[in-house]
Amino acid sequence: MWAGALVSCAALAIGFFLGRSFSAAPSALVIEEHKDEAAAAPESIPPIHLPSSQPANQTANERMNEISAQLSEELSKVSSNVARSKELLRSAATDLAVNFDSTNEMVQEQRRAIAGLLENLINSGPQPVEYSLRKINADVASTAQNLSGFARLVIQSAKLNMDVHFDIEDIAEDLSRIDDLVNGVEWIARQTHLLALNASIEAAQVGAAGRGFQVVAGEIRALAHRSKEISKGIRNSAGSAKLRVARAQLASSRSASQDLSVLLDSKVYLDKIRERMDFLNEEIHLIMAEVSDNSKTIGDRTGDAIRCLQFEDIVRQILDHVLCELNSLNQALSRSSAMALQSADSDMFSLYQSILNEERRNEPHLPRHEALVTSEVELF
Amino acid sequence: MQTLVLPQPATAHQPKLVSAPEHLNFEWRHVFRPLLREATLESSFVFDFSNTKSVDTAALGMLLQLEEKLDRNPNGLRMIHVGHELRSLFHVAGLTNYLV
Repeated sequence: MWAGALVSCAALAIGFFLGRSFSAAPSALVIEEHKDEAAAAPESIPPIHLPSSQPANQTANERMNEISAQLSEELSKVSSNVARSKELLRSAATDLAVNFDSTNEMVQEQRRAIAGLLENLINSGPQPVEYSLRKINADVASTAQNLSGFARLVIQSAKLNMDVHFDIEDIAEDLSRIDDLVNGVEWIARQTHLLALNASIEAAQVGAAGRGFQVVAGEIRALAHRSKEISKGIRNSAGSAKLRVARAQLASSRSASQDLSVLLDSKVYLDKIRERMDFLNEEIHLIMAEVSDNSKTIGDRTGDAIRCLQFEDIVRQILDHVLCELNSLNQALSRSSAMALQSADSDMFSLYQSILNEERRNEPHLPRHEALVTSEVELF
Repeated sequence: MQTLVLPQPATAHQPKLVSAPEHLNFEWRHVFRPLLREATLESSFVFDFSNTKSVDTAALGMLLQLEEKLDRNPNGLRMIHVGHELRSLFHVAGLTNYLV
């Protein structure tokens, strides 16, 4: 009877202590690491040895010892598992914190590399200035302006060519008029020659009195011939000039008539390149800002994650408390076993009271709720 | 007192409307030359480019000749219905002020 009562009391006590320990867990994060306030929890609990009893209670004592030994063994196993869990938790939390920190550092490094690369692309950085986007954009704008200027020059040149061409057309018209005039002169020369012949004939008919007139007629005939020769020379020269004028007209027409569509298409293309480069420049600046914001956010999130790992500290304290409770229970079981053999039923009540008192003396001081300070993150 | 109404002056010189062909090039000189000869400082021309698809440098040169003959008077020269593709060409030639 005493053994059964003692085992029931032990089971109630174990349940009571374990329930109290997990319900007393703190509800918020604690920044600073708490030193062990409770006594260092033993990794294992020694078996309970009961004092030797009166010969009349030998059987009950043996049973009690047996039960106590089993309970002690179970408590030792539990303590061992709790200790191992504590160690695993600590190790995992430490590794996670290190990994988060390392990841954050890599992200920041990546951000710096991207920012440096983009900055170099825009402003050339350590490369020659000619290789920067800004310089290329300026060169494209300059080329487009030069193309426009060149097109303008070509058009002005075409205007001058048209001036020359029209003048050449006028010259050609003048040469045609000269041709007509030469025809007139030739006609006059022919008529003059005929007139001179007639004059010679009339002079011959007159006889000796007409000899002087015949000489004059001969001279006039010679002049008419000379005039014809000169007209012929003028006609040849005018014809030659007309040929040359025609060639000049052809050359000026070819020079004046140019298709500028390729040139202007190139200028339009260069203008589009400049627009695209301006757009690219803006995009790069936006990307840089976005990368910078993302890096900052990642840094903040990493800090939050590291702070969340502080739960390990709380769980460790809870486990420490559990170990303390188990130790207290073990000691209480040891005392209660001895007391049960020597006292009456009313001592069960005293036993229960003593267990409660033992519990009150070993109640841990768990950390209170504190506000989270975001700027104070300590890796443990 | 009776108001004296003066007769209106003579009607202003009407601008001469010229339709440009589909391909405005060097051959247009046969049409353009007489216009250039008759142009004076008081003349006024309107060129319609609604049917024009291409313009070469010779035609632009001729237009610049007419602009010079008119002493760059913006009221003496108008160019209407110039297509979007040709506007940049006229801009490069310096004829933007005459585009309507």
